Amino acid sequence: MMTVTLSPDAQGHLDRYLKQIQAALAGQSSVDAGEVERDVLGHIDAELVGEPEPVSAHRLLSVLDRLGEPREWVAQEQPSWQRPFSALQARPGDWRLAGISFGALVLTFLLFMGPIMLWPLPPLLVVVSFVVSRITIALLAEHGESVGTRGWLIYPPLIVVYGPMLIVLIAGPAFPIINLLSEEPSQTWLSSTVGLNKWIALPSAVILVVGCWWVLLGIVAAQATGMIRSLFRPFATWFERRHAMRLALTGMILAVIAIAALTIPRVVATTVSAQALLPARAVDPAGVCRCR
Amino acid sequence: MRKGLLELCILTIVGRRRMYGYDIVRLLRDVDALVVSEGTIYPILSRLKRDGLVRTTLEESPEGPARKYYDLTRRGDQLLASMTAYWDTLAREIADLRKEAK
Repeated sequence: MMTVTLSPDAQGHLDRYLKQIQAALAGQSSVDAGEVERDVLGHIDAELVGEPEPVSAHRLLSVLDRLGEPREWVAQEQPSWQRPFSALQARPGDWRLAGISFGALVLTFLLFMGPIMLWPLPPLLVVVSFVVSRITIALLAEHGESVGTRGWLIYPPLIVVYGPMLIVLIAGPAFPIINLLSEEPSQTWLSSTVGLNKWIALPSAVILVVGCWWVLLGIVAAQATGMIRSLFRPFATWFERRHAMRLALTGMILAVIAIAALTIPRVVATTVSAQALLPARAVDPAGVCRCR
Repeated sequence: MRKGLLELCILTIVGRRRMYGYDIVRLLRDVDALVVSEGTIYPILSRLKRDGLVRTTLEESPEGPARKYYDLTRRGDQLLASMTAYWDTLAREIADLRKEAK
């Protein structure tokens, strides 16, 4: 039990540190994890007694820094040959789950490239590897551990799913629109409607649709930043409302450019032809100029 | 090479007198050659207790929560004696070797 009061920030650091101790000592039959945790708390308390309260995170971190990484305490307790095994056993699931996740992904690629695909096993394996990766990240966060080198096993299955998801989300209706406008009748209809060459009308129409989509996406994302961070966890932890607003603004600029590209040539052409007609109207059939 | 040295140091400290866990860490902190993080001591103390080499007693403290004091058991005392004898022999023989080498 602590007698000193910690700042909320410092309390967060302490909670994470205690989780690291629990994770590092789990499965260690030679030590009493609860007793070690209490001793460490007593140590921290003894170090911080007399400090101005609430004790800052900076001051707490200097104490934790001297205490060191809980993982290393156990490593120093064991013969070197046991360490790789204890790394697997001391924190149940984390390395093994990372291995299962990556293994499922590798198996997916092998099935795709091999002579027998065993449909629908490959997509099921992708889903399994993705779900296991997300579970592993959640467990590590719960234990207060960083992903570290396990990222090489955990991230590829996530990227395989997040990559296409991100492309679909960003491109939005662009692909269906391009598909629709790739046919001759649609191109002719669009060109005649806007009164422009198809090489200007088609890209402008696509940019307009994408721009409007980004505005919509940006507005929705700004209202649901937590959902975006959770959806693309752990890669979108930096995502904030201002990023969503930038997307919406970019979309708005694209839409304005596209609208300008679709309307300005037509307006210019109308004005020019009107000016070209003006002298002809000003001269009467008798040849007398009535301009002035 | 440091393997076992920490146990010897802890048993030596506790063998002198009953000691509060935090004070053991403070004493070992000053032994630069050991190069250990302070937290390493607590799992070792727990293991020594589980192995029956040290025992603990809780005592109320006027400065805060109750403190846990460590002292040696009979087995711990015997182990410390044999470890110290081994260390003395080793140190003497290495010193002799170094003298001969000069």
